Amino acid sequence: MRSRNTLRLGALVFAGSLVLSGCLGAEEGGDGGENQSVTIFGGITGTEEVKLVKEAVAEMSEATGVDVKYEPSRDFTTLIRSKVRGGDAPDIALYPQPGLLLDMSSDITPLDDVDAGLDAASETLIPGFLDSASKDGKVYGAPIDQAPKSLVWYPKQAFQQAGYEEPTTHQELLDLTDQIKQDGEAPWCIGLESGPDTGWPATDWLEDYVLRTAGPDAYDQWVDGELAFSSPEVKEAAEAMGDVMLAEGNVQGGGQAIVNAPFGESSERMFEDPPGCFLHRQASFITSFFPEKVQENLDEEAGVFVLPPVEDGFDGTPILGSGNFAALLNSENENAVKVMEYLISDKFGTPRYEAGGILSPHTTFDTSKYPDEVTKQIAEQVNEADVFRFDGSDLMPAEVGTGSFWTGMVDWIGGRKDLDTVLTEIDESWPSS
Amino acid sequence: MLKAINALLAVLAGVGGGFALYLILNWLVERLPGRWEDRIKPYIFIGPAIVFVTIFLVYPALRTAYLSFFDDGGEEFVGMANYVDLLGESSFLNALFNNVLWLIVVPAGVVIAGLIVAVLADQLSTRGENAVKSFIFLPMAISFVGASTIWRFVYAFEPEGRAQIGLLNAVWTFFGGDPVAWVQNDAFRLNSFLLMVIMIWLQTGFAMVLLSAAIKNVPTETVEAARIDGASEVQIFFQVVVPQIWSTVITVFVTVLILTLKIFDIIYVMTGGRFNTDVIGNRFITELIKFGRDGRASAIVVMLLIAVIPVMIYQVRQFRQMEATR
Repeated sequence: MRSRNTLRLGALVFAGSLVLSGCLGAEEGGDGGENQSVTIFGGITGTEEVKLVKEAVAEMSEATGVDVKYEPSRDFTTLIRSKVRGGDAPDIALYPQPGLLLDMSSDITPLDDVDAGLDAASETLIPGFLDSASKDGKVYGAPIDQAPKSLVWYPKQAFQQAGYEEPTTHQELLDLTDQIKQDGEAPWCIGLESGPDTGWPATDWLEDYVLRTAGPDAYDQWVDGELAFSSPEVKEAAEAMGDVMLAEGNVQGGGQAIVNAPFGESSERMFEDPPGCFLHRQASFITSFFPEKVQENLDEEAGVFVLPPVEDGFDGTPILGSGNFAALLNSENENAVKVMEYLISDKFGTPRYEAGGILSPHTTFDTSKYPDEVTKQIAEQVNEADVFRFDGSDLMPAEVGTGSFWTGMVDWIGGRKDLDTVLTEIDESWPSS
Repeated sequence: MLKAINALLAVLAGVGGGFALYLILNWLVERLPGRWEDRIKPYIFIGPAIVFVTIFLVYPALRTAYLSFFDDGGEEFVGMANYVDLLGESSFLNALFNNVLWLIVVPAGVVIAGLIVAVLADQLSTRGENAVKSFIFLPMAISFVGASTIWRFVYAFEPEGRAQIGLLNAVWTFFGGDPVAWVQNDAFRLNSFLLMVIMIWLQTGFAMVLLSAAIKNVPTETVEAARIDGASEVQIFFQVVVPQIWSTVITVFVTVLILTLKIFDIIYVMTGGRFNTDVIGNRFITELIKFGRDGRASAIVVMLLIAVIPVMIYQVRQFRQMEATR
């Protein structure tokens, strides 16, 4: 008898929970129609950053009357693929790399095909920005923020006390470097370590120098794979970059130390007493890695100038930048289209820009809303720049842009391989199809 | 909250369902005439397990092998191209070579270190032995990622003129050396060997426990007989004790070998495969997740699978022999 009772109990529990979970499951998903909420999935992480994005999203919810949720993930690049493949795609995704976005274009609704205010946005956006997320004449994504990368930071107090001046040409930059060396100090702080992404800061350096020595047209060909890494143009740029990075005494500990230093920490050394170095080339977001007392008083503690142009190179000042691109994955959700329109307009994101570090991708944004003079100055320089180009490694195929380009730079700068070998190896890793 | 309740119900339904399934099937079989009941019953109980192994292990393995002959999207048949490409790349061959090094050095290192600790601890008082063994066993409780993070501090490097926060460099510079970027230094694969030390450190405790038990099981008569015959302690150890614990040594060696075949975490955390330290486990993750190249990633796993098969066969045989002698 005992086994019979157990059997009955088992069956009862089984059937009961089956029915119940069915009911609850239906309740969760069955919210259709006009009040459909919108989920945004993105790679903007970090407690402070997420808080600001959520504030901006709340502002957007209020303006559009749509319930919007932001879900951040550190593993965005991996998860977005598996989410879309697994039928669990978010309504909107924020791609940090337009290369990945275009790679997944078959899952994305082009902005030309929906009523999401593309024309209005393209008028206010920094010219050239949308090109990074366009393919075959269609626009698949639009930027929601930007972080200019061609910036050189310096510790303002110590820099001025030593009587140094901001250079305006590459030669002046090299002269300044030598002058600092003669004064017995280390001129540059450079760090490439970034966990599994180690090497990316060096790819930014090289991109900046390709823009400056070979110019934007060559840059575009290079990014598209038409101009080889081993071409004289790219090699010349790498050599110009090597003059700054690898000359004896330019960085404390040389190439091995550069490869070893975490990119964020390396910037802090500028503000040691006495300064560990006087120059640091990094994107606008690096301010969030500065020591707290510097961040509180950014305008007085930190100075910044645009990496100067190279003589005999491209005639003008190019700016290299990056940003997050919004893409529409579920156009059947009408509210998602509505949210998209707001997201890519110059209205979105004010709480983020007021906190500093990142900038609006729209030229129409009111610069007086930026929190400090440093950010305002950067915004002006970007708006005045002759050429804007998106971070090339984010546009190249992943095997190169997040693979051989990173490791190649690490091998070269760490002194394990010479420049020619590295450039040829990167060329060989470029996927054939 | 709703999700939590749903999860709980799912667990209940799953466990209850499994339970009910066995009960129902058992009840059905009991209705059969006696002879048939005995014939079918074993299959009723082993059947579900086989079904699950087939669905979750055999099928994915076959599917992976199938995909390894296709392109990155899994759409176009490319024959052996993935294998040919991979085996023609110096970086992949390099990873293979590193794997072979790992497979030789780590299991051997673990067995030797475990044996030394087990033998030496055996000479201590019971209390001392327990204390020492507990200490050596402690790292077993740490995950590979956790251990790697700890060892990052051991191998940390700062340029000359800055304070050395890394243990190894602190000692090194104390004795007058210049700071060395340990994990970047691949002369004679030094950095790979330094990473292997982490795994040996982690697994020594496991080897020690098994080997120590085996040593204690060696009959004292055999040792005493050898002593009376005038054998030295070293001779006794190698010619009397070791042959008697050999099967345990093999078990430990093979277990660590299989663990080493799958090595990935330590490389990923410490170097990400840079500086000539890559292994196939890490290469697989890179191809699949970073580059989205399913075909190549599948080909890598298939090669790994083929490499494991001989080890598995050997272990199963060894296990059967042990069962037979018991």
